[in-house]
Parts: sequence; C-alpha cells; structure tokens
Amino acid sequence: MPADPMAGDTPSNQGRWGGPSEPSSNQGRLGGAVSVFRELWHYRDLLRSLVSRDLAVRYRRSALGFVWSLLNPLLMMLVFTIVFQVVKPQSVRNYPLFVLAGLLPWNFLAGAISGATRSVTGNAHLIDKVYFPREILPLSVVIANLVNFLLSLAVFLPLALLLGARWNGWIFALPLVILIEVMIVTGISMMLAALNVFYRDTEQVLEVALTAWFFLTPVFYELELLPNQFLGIDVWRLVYTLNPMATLITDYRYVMLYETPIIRHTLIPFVIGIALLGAGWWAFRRVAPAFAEEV
Amino acid sequence: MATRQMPGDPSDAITVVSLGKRFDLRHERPTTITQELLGLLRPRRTEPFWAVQDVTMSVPRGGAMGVIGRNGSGKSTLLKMLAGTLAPTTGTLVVRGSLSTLLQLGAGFHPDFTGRNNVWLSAALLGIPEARMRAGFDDLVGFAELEQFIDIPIKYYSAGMLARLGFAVSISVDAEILLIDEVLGVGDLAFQRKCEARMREMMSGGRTIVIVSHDAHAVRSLCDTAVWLDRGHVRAAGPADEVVDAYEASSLGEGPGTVSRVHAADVDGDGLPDDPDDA
Repeated sequence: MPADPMAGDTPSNQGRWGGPSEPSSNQGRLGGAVSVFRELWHYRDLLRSLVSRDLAVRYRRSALGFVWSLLNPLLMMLVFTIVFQVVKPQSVRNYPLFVLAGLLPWNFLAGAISGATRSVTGNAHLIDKVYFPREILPLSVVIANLVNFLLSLAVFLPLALLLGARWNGWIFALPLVILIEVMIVTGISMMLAALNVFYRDTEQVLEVALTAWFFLTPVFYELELLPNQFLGIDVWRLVYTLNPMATLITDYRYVMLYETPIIRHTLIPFVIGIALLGAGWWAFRRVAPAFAEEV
Repeated sequence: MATRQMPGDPSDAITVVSLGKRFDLRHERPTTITQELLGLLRPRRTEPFWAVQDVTMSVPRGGAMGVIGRNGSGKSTLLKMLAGTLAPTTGTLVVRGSLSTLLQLGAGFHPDFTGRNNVWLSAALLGIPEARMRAGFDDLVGFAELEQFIDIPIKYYSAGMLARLGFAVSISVDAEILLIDEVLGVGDLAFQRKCEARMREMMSGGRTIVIVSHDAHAVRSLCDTAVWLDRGHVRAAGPADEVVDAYEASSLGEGPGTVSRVHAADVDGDGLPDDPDDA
C-alpha cells in the first residue's frame, strides 16, 4: 500500500467511465458542484504551479519585470491624457487618475480572457497525456492576471491618495466590485477556452470583440458623453444595462477616487456575473471530456 | 451505458468490459473557395474509425500487465482511456484505486525554466503532494544524475539529460496503479538498468502496473500477463511469455531467432508487399 496519505482520495472520475456520458452525470446538480470543488482542491498544487509559471513567463527576460504591469498602463494613461486633454479637452477633473482607474480593471479583463482562450489549445501536450481537471488551465490564467491586477492596485491606491483621490467608507466596497469582475471574467474565459478547442476562429474574433468592447466601456471617457438620444435609443442607458463593465468601471472610480457610493445598477453586473460563471463552468465541464481528441 | 453496479471482480485493480473508441476522421480534401463556403452549411463528412473495439480484460491488484502490438494497433488509445484523458465510445471501464501516468519524457517541461522549476511543475501535474516532493527532491536529482545542472534552464540540457529527468520525476509518483507508456529504455545502458531495478522495486511494493510498449523485451521481463492488440482488437491474452512469443512469431514471420532482418515492406513475411492497411 502506498505510504502517501493523498493517494487514497484521488478524484473518483479518474479513468472511471460508464459509457459516453460524463462520469458525474448521474449525481445531483449540487453533488456535482461539490465534487468539482473537491477535485479542484485536490489539484491545488497544480493550480499554484501553473499560476506561478504564468507570472514567471510573463516577466522572463525583461529587465523591468513586474514594473511593466504598472508602467504599461501609465504609458497608456499618458497617451490618453495627451489625446483627450490636449486635442479635445474634457471636463473630467484629474483626468490621468480617471483613466488609470479604468485601465487597470480593463487590462485585467482583456489579459485574462485572451490568455484563457488560448489556455487549453496551448497546452495540448498536457491534456493528451495526463488526467487533471481541465478547468485548471483557464483558471490559472485568470488567477495569474488577477494577482497582477491586485499588485498594480496596491501601487495605484497610495498613488491616487497622493494625487488627490479621497476615500470614505465606500472604499471597502472595492473587494465586492473586484469579485463581480472576477466572476464575469472567469465565466467568459471558461466559455471561450472551450469554444476555441473546437473553433480556432474564436481567438481571431476575440481580438475584434475586445476592441469593440473597450470602446463601449467608459475607460477613457465618461459614460455621460454617450448620447441619450440616438435614432430614438437611449444609448447611455442601453450601455449601462447591457455592458456590465460600464457599471463596474464606474464603480471602481466612485470608490477609489470620489468617495461616492457604488451605483444602483451594480446589481445587474452581479447577476450577469453569477449567470456567466455558472453557464461558463457548466459548458466547459460538458465538453471537457472531448478535449483530448480535439486539441 | 452507465452502470451503478460495478462490473468485474472487486479484487481487480482494473476491469474493462467490451471497451471501444471510435474516432470520426475528417477528410480534408483540397477544395475551391466556393466549395469551402458551401461546405460550411453542410455537416462535415466524417468516416468512423474504431481505434479500439470490444476489448475486455482485467488486471488483478498487484499485477503487472503488458500491452503489446504494432504501431497503430490501439495501444495508446487504450492507455489514454485508462488514464482518463479519452472518453470511451462504448463499454465500461472501472479503475479501483488512485492512478497515475508515467509521463512520456518530460511532458509539461518548459524550456526556459530550470530543471528544479520543471520538476516542481511536473510533480504538480502528476498529483505528487508537495511535502513528499520536498522530502524526495535530492534523491530524485541524484537518481537523474543531474546534481550539477539542476539550476540551469533545461533548454541547455542534452536529450539524455532531459530523458533522465523526465523518468526520475515519473517514478516519484506514488499511486496504487501506474500506467507506463514507452518510457522505458531511456538513457544509456547503466541508466536503463537502474530504471528497471526501480520499476521492480515499485512492483514488489504491491502496485498495479500497466505497461504499453512495442518493446517485447521489456514486457517479457517486467510483466506477468500480457495483451496483444491488433487493429484495435485483442488478438491474444494470457501469460506474458506466451503472448510475447506469439506476437514475435507473427511479426517476424517464422518465430524468434530464425529471421533476424525483415524487409521493411514485407513485415508480415508472406513474400508479398504488405497491404498498406497493415501499417
């Protein structure tokens, strides 16, 4: 018998199949969710290793390393500031901080989603050989980007205070806003990672889609700039309702810069976040058994 | 279909009942753009191919079974189903106990990382607990004979060094059932001996082992039973010696020893060029 205490509790669906259906299909929905988390817990070392590999790869052979994840948005901020202050002056006070508070959460979303989309196809050699919960691949990318985001916030927040941002109790709502974004990002990441296995078109379309999404999100402008009457449509309200990131980015600014309560619309991204996370995870699990023959 | 009642003898580590795997091969013929666009509307034409069909076998706990057969006979497909990376199309598969795969030489290794980092990553991939890895790390590096090079990126390693590191990580796995796919026979002769000795040690520790190989020697010396796969079907099963003898006799025409070289185009020894389907 193995001396290893872990050996006994290896996840039950390892190599145990009853026909073409997935192994956990005869459990209740709730039982399925519990076993998913138990399995992920069992593989936490792998998740941690992949996250640190991801972070290490990102800064390998660059002299400035982590500094880049802050320097990059700073330079982008400079570009936007020049364009929108010099070329077309805006009324926003402290525009550089305003842009940065939008860019950091946006970069987290864009980086995580585009990385995660390639995560399964990019690790074909692992999927083919060993069994492990496939969720680990997109999840590790999301977590690595989250770590990066949190580190950049840790630098941004003191900087913002120094440059005139003001906080009140609502700063404590920041984790909630981050949590909602994480749910949205994870849900979309899982969906696209799975879709990309079957249709590599996904990663091509994604680039355009992310650019379009970026412009529909008030990262470098105030949402109020959008017309509230265009062909009879209230664009302003439409974007707030349909684009959860519009609400979230506004929330980030309110709590981090303006001592303002997060806006009432926040319930919508919260619900969208839960729905996306559930749907993304469910879809991913459903098709994951076919990954090994498709990648 | 799914059976709640597990088939097979509960003292077996692995039970496989009429297992089958069908791949739908897509034919990608060169087409014109118009045809390509029209094709988007129609379902892609596929041809079913049974890589493994109607395989029934069992491995007793503590047993060592070899799976032999020519290239394309379905050995690796079978192993992947046992490992849980491929879902079977038909049949039932029951694995009783924790299971691990001996990775084919350093899958998961990243060229830019040091040997040390790669060992940790591979260990996590194989599900080796960190505490065990920490305790066994120096032994592992010693086994791979890489003490001097463990902290340099593996892109500077020679092929032999990589192979040794991959094998050393693999054998640190401590699962009840081990699946081994052609990982034997790496490195020089001395290292191979060491590997075989290590395998025997693991087997005497009560582990169940399934070895997939076309190396008849390895199967004969390490396994007590064997299954010979031929085009996805079980052609023979039983004591390892007998099955390997039959397999060698078939591949070499007249039996072991009598034919030392076979013309590449006439492997089945019938004097005629081989049917391409045989390959």
